[in-house]
Amino acid sequence: MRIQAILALAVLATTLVDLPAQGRGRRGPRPGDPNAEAATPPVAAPAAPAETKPKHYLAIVGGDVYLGTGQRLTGASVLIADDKIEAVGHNLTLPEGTTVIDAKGKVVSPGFVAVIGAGMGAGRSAPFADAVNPFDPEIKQGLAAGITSFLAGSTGGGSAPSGSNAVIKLAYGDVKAMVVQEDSVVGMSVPLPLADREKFADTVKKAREYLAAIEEFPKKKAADANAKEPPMPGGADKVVAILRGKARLWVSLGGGGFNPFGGGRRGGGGARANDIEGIRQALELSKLLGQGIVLQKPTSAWLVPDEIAATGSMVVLSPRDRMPADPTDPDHTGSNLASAAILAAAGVPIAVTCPVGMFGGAGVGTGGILGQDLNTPQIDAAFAVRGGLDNRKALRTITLDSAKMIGADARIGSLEVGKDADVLILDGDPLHYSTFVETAVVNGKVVYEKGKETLYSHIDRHTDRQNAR
Amino acid sequence: MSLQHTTLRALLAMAASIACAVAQDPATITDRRPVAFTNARILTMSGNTIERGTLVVKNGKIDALGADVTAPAGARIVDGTGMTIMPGLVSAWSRAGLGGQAAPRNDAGASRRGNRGQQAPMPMGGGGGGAQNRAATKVIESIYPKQEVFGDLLRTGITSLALTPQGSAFPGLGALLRPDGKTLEQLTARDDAFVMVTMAREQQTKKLFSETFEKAKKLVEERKKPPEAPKPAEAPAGDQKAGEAKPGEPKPGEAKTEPPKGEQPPKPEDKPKPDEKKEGQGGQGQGAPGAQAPAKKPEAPKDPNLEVLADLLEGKRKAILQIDSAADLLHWEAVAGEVKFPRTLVVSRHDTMSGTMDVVLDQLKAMKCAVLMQPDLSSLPRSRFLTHPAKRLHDAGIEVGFLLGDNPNTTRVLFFRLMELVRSGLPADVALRGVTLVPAKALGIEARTGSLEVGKDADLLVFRGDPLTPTGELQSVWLAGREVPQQP
Amino acid sequence: MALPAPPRLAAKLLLWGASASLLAAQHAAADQRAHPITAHLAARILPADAPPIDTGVLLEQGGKILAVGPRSSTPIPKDAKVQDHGNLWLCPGFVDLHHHVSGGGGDINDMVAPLNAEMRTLDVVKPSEESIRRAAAGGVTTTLFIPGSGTNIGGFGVLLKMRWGGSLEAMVIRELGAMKVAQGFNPERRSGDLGLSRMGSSELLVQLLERGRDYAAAWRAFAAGTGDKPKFDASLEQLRLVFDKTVPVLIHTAGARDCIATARMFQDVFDVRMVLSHGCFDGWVAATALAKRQTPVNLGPRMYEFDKYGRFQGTCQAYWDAGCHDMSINTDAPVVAAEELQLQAAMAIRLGLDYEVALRGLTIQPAQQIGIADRTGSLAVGKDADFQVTRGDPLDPRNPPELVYIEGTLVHRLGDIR
Repeated sequence: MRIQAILALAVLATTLVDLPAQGRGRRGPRPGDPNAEAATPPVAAPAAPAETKPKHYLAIVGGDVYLGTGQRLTGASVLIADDKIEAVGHNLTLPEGTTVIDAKGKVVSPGFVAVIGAGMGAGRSAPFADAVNPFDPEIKQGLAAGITSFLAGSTGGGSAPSGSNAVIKLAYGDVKAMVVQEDSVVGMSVPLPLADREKFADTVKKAREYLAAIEEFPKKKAADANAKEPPMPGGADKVVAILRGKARLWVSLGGGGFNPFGGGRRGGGGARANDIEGIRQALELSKLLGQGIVLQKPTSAWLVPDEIAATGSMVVLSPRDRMPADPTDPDHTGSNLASAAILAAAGVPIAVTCPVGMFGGAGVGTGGILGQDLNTPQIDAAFAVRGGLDNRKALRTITLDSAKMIGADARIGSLEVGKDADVLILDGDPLHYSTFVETAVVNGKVVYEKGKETLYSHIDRHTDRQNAR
Repeated sequence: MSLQHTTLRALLAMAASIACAVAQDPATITDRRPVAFTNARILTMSGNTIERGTLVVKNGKIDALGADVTAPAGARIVDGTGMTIMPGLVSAWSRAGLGGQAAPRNDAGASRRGNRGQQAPMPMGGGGGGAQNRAATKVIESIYPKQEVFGDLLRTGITSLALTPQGSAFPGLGALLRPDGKTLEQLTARDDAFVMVTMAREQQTKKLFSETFEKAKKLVEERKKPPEAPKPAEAPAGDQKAGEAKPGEPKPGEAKTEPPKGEQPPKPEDKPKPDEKKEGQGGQGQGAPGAQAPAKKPEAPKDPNLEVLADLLEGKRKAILQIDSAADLLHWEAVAGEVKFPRTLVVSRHDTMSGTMDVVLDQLKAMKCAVLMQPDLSSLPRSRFLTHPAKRLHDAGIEVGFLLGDNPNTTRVLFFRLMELVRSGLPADVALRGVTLVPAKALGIEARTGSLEVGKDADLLVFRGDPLTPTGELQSVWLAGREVPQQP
Repeated sequence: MALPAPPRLAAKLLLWGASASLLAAQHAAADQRAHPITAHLAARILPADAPPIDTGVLLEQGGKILAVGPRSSTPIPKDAKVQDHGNLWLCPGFVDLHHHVSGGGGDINDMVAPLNAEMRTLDVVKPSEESIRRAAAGGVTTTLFIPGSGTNIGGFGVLLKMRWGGSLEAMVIRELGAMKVAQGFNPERRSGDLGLSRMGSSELLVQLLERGRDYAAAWRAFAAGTGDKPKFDASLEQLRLVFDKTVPVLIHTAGARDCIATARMFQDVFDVRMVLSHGCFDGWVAATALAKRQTPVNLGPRMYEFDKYGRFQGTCQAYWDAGCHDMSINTDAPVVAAEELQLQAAMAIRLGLDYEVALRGLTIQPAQQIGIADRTGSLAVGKDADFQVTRGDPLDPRNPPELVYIEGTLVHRLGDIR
């Protein structure tokens, strides 16, 4: 295919926005929500202290439940109260009036989390909360792919922390629920010139001083009513957010453009920061902050898994990104299909994303190339398995560990009590290429059913048991 | 095309033949004789259809109508056998003669074009960016009167034509035209027919809405304060003036059309006419005013835009609220859902990429207002599965009306589009009310036009046959009791 | 033997043997004497052109398949070397007919003239190219390395075995594998000469094809003694092979209009062997018309299109349903990476295509379409022992080939390449 077509599709695929956003939390059932109104008051609702509104219960019963943590419960159930997971396990007692979805013979999984995404109703201008399109047909397409949350926007880069992004939830039809949190990722890139490294160290120092002063402030105020709150040091707000645990630092390691006819390389040949030195420099930033960072597509990370693990850092990668070793440069060792497996073995959390290719894209593309974008997140995890990652652990790369990378794991990424009820019912092994999402539940509401949407309803799952893995 | 031509030719021929009987030159229309249409089918819109009756026009008004009515002595008789008479069309929202289309074409066409290379939808409404409060700006001020388009629209059946200011948030005051006017003053029926409010799904517009409505609410509160209350500082002086100047004096100018009807629940019953309506430059006739009342004492400058919005919140004005997609509606709900004012919702296109209005029926119902939309079917996103937003809204109990377009070519095919809606399940009377009485209510002129009732203006369309059959043919258009010549 | 530069010599060589090059034959003969029989035992063998065999064995000798069948009924010679692959599966090496990356970079579009029938990729193969090795690591053992689609006729592609790092001779199956034609979209030149539009480029193409047809006919007549010796024309020598039907034409085309136009031109008018490649966008709308002509189709890299109702319409499924059963699947590498050919088939299955059909689309079908089914494309007696050993379903991306053999020689072992 030729470059015009390539460019056209590349443009389609590149719809990331780079604008600030303001936070807006989720909320309970909307007044006037038919589901909420239809709920009958549960007779034996577990611990409902002074609840004015009766909870709406939904149970997904009898499926093979993948928790997202790496564990699996066979023939178990997930009980949802309003928009949260109330219980997961065998032989749950369902409150009266619970809506039951039979999942026998099906697989139940947390909704997939895409660490790098675009489109799907996120809007193109900031703040995201003011621009989300809860009726974007791409939301249904994303849900059909199993995605229930993704990070939209820019993850920054450059010599100082920057970026503007939001964790978007595919809450079809619900404007206020679509933005989970904003700016929970802050980005930088390496290599950094010495001056910038020193500047960053200085910013971290100022940020720490500021935080210490803030902590002291109530005491000071008590002593002196005229005491002024310490001012935020200039340019330190992003670092302060990181130190407060409100944001994660993503460090981009260069990555280069992909030459379509450059011999099938992906991931950018010649991205010098992608060697071990680049990774070490990124880890220096982690040490300065005293906390783990997220390394974005560190091609050579597989060579230093323990160094990464020691800092508590995490890795976003595409197992399919390819960078051949440079035979003239012993440090330039290239990519490794086994990266995810090697890093996971060292205890480094991994999130997988789609490859950087001509038609790969961070959205649910409509370019017709399947298996290269977010239409099939399970394929990227499958390639991690191809490289040796344990099949069950691999699901974490598109669920819980992905949620960690974007600082949203307190709410999403696994089927654990108290978390958001973002649940998929699948017709088979989550990582098999023929598996379809049959039902997607977001915030406790059924927002996608394969049989009722046009996208895939006409396709029956390939059921060649003989050739099943 | 050929159909249109044929129709047009037929219309011209008809006009020519009728011209023999009826005085055509406005100058010579001094014929004060009543006109009686006899044996006609009369679609009243407000009541039952009269299958065979008489309609009498006298002094520009409907003097009588009914099955038993007899033509008064001396009346000119028009034999209406085989004819259908309905009210003239009311276009509540257009950019006719202003340049730039108010109504993007139905995007169902886009999805039918093919599926490949679908573009992301354009930003809605004014597109954001330029969101500002220009609520007191009058669209009439940007009109050039000597344009054929108004007459052309009239000849296609539009007897009441509203012009809409363009832009996001509060682009200004819409105007109501008498489309047979030749000069600006003849054209202008009202220069402040409605306050235009345009939603766009972006920060600037949303922020402007929440801030501005807050200010307007405050102003309403201030207006409620007794004018006497002397307060420190200079600010109250202005407020006081505002308080007494505003609602106090009805303009002696001329009897406007009726005050906005209080069909909105939250609206207080208010007698005083908004004096703002006389503002605006450009003529001494209908819309002529000296800005902001002549010679006031120096006072704290009032923000005329805010004044308009305060009027709106007090129910003294009506708004046309443009929200182009379901997504935008939810954003509106989030930012201004609690703000109450008399309104009609305009949905300028079926936006399948951000949700057509039938996907938010509950929220629409909660807005308690009529909805004007394109008279077209829509489709599911990226699909040829057709949907019928108008029918779904109607079935949900929402009053539905239609947008008639900016140019005569659009209006000429209006009845074909309505036929498609009817064939797909919308009741015929709903379709026809949607182009007459419903938009008339949106403009607050339903007491004068929009239906056939005694005492209302004789704005009539006379069809040979039924307007909603392919062979139905518009024969003549009557504006305030006068037949509109079919040639300019 | 040196690779012949003069077209005349190349043509002669090709006329000698259409499918088996002299080189390969010599190699095979040498191997046969030097190598004993190897018995590959596998839990399951997918021969591709026959039903799956459980607990099977494949006997290989001198790079050729000696026997394949269930262990129960296939005797293993005593002196055979036994390779027990345990629980692993065995299936043919894949064949990708639309591959651009064996040349070590771009440089496969000569954008000066619109028609380049005298060009070929043979001269730009880079045996040490990394992507050859990666393709093999993905189980791809044969590719048609073709010029790009920047011009109407890009030149002739070479059929290669994915033997990395050795000599070119060891890779080449057929020097002129297929003529690459590009119809529609890409080759429109948008310049001020003829060929600005699709009409114009078609006209230029037809003019050249007519010359080629007449040239080939003249030589055939001469050979049959019914005509004078034609004047030698170096620029038409390669094209001549197309009209002698020794070399097929692989045509990049997409969209219903261009698919039909292509089949009409190359099948109805010029009656040459053609393979319709891509067939994307709404090309499937024309599939019924292609099915009537039994047009061989080589689909990809796009595997779906939204149909008019907004559904994922699997491209392969649509062609199959319309009756186009001579179907192979491609990567258009680097559009999709060469080593992800299996994923293309997996995606076709996801969208409804039958498993066996998809597997055939990577193996026997492309081999037949390009005329090398006697050499490769299935695990059948007498063919080259090109196969891969996987942990299970070879189309599942989770199962990388553990071992890949080309002509009985191990060319890749899992872990050899990162």
